[in-house]
Amino acid sequence: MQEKKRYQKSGQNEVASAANRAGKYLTFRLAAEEYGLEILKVREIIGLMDITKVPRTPNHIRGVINLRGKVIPVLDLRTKFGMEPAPDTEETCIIVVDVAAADNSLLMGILVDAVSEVLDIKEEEIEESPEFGCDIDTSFILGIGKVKNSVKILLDIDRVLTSADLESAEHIARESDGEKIPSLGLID
Amino acid sequence: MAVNSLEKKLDMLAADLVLLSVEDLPALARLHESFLQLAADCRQARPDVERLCRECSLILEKIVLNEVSDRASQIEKIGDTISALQKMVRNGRGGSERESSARFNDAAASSECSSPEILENSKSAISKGQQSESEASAQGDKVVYPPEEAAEAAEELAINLQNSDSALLADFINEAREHCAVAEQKLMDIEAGTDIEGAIHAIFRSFHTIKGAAGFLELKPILVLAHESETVLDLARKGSLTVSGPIADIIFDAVDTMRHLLEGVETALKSDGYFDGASLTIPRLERLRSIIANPAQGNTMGTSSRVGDILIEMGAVSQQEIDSALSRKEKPDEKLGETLVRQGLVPAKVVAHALREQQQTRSDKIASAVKEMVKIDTDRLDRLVDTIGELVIAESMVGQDEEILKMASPKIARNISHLNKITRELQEMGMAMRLVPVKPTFQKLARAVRELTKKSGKEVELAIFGEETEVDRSIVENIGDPLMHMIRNAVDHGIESPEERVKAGKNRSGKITLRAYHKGGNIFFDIEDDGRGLNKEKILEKAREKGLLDGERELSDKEIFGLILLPGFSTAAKVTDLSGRGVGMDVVRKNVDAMRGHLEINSTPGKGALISMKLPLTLAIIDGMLVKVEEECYIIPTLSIVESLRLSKEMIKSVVGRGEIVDLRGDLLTLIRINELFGIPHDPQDNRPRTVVVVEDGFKRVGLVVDELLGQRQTVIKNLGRTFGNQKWIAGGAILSNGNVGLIIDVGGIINLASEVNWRHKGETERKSLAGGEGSSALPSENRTPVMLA
Repeated sequence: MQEKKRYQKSGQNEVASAANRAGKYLTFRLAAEEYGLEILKVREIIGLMDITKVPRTPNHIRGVINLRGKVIPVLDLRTKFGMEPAPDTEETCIIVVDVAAADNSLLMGILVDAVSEVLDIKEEEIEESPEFGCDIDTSFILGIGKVKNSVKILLDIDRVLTSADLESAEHIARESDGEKIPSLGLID
Repeated sequence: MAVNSLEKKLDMLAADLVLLSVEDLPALARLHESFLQLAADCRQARPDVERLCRECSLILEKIVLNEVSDRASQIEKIGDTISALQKMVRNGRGGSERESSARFNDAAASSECSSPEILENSKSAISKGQQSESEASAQGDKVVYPPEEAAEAAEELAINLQNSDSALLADFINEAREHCAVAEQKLMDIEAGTDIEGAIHAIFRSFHTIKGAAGFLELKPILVLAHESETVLDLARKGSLTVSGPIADIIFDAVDTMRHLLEGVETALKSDGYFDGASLTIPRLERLRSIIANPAQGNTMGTSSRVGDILIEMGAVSQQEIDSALSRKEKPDEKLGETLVRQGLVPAKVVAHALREQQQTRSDKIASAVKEMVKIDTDRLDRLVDTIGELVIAESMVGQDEEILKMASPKIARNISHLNKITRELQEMGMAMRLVPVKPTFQKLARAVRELTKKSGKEVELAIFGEETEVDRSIVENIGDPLMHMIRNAVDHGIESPEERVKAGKNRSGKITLRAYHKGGNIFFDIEDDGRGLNKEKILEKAREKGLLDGERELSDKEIFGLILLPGFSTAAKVTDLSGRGVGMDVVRKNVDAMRGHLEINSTPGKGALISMKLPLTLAIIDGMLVKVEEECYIIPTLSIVESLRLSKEMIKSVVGRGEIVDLRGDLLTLIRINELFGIPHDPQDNRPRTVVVVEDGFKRVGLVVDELLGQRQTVIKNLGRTFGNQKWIAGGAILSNGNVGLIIDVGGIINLASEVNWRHKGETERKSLAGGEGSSALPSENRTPVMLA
């Protein structure tokens, strides 16, 4: 799996560099854990702003924000990863990422506890993601970066957001749709 | 044309020519166009100048088509001709025809010309000075394209694009498509009988431009087709053909074929670069050639008789006098004016006046047709409009900022109001930029009617009103298909055969009226026919047969007609070539729904049917009511709102536990509590008086319970993207004045959602009670398509 992923990456994007995961990562904090995001995926970092809730969507979708005229969804990574929800603080911010969707890219905000720094992680510092057994899906983890005695979980954001998230959004939607009712099926 | 302006134009031409680079094809083409234009302009006043201009344009055409070996010397020759022309014009009242010919000959002879053929052509044309100009130019055309060459070309109608410049080709395809559209539009004008002469010229020019470019790009089939069509049009220009009926059909067909060829080229460009246009082109070419060979098929048309029309209008002569004058022409090419004067029917002064008037109308037309236009990428335009929207929001954020208001400085207030004015103006301009007239769409429909009529063997007359109505670009893009379906239905199902009509005491030919108009902030499209109308019994029968309906409830007319909008519904006994597959009205409904519009059908048996389509002015902006539900704000499209009223406890009737209805002036209205539906935290004990917004989607009517109305807003709709693509109750997002996102409610979606939620939460019996909004309704059984009518 990892081999395949790496191969694809080198084919598609020379900037992602020499068939490995080494490169610059934006690290952020989520509860007590440190995570890393490929810097090329990051569009910008914005402070917390008013988020409009969208009813009847999964809990980890916080809602939508107005990013200079563009409406983009915001995902609460804490909830997404099944962590305890925490109140927003001064440090809470939204990382706007460019997610590769099926046909085009999609802007999405992810809500994190705090942004730490940009780290240059070398290939030898990255380890394969550990297997936790079949119950735990680790496909969204690129690897584990060990830098200066700390551990950063490097995320494959495309997988975090498109596969699991969109699927669940669709799943919820399907559930709420129930038996498909055509548009003229009406009640009044 | 006044001598002065003629002089100016010639000077400009001379300047253009000096600056011209021989390799610059677009510039050559422009120059070519200018000469043709000039020739057309001085057709009446200065036939000598006109002829020389045509000669120049011919030479240019040859240069563009790469048919001369030494371009530079040819250009020089044109230069000499222009200076000869300048002299002629300056010498005032115009040298005689002969004199100018001599000049041209001098000019031509003095230049080094490596292509004796051209020189000879020019000279031969000039030597026939007595001939009319069009014959001369036709002569030229024939030299450019000897029939053998065209025939030869027909044999190699395959296109190989492997070595072509794809960017140039793409430009050509776009441009040629536009020319096709122009040609088509002008053909419609001809059919309608307006400005026939001008239209023929315009079509000619379109084909001509296509021909030039296609020759340069080595697109043989297009070149040949354009050339032959052009020749036919040239015959029409000269008056030896009338563009109507069969001839118009053939030209329509040529335009269509041209489009197909362009499509072929486009596909070839994307794939292997090879395209064989022979099968498409050859039959058309044969037809065109047969007309060229025997133009007498068409009857003669007096292109210059318009002077006659003017004279009649002026009361100087009668139609009979003109007819008799025409029959007594001394020479075939004698001008009507001359004949009339010679016969002493009209004083020369009056004829001169008429001629002036004729020219006046012509130049007016040219002036109004040539508006300066800039082509803009629609993405950029959308981005501009978006950014303006942002500016408006930013402006209102500043204007309503508490800090700034606190300062209460008159200067700041003045500046802010100034800013406000400017942004508002910008916003209006941005909106206006997206507006386009519906005319091209209507023209396509007119054309469809024409063809449908022929296929169905019925006689149909189409009356169009309001084609100048302007609507948003996005709507124009989406309106075509629904209108086309409805027109088809009207022709195929609505209008009876001529015999049937006569039997019913109606006119032989049916009438379809197409109307576009603005009313109350919406745009309406009406399609009305005077055919047999909708058959209520048949519709009901069909609906029962398909299981779309059960229960014996009486349905209102509106509801019955609404049934034809259901998927798979067709009352046509057989599927014809034109329609009857039962997808039509379904598609119409989907399209109209997507545009947030409404459809209304009315019909009187035997008298006809009227389908009215109500659409918002633009898809980008929505007029909505901002409502507050607990702490959240939502926007309900004003288009769907019927009314709103205060909800008091006494009005609510609870049905079997959970369903709530109110009695609204005798009508029972289902209530949807938005806070419950959306799971917004609220206190169930809260007994504040609330507001009901009565909304309507099609025939469904429900009441949405909200906390309060915050006011009407115009907001720019933003797509929420695919993350929420499955949330059918959200129509989109809107940026509110505080910069936050507000969700726009899709009324149809929320009604479905509510019914579904209740459906799942309740048993069969309760479901019935919820559905029983306005009395008994037809209830679906579990696995059928549920259709319940109010």
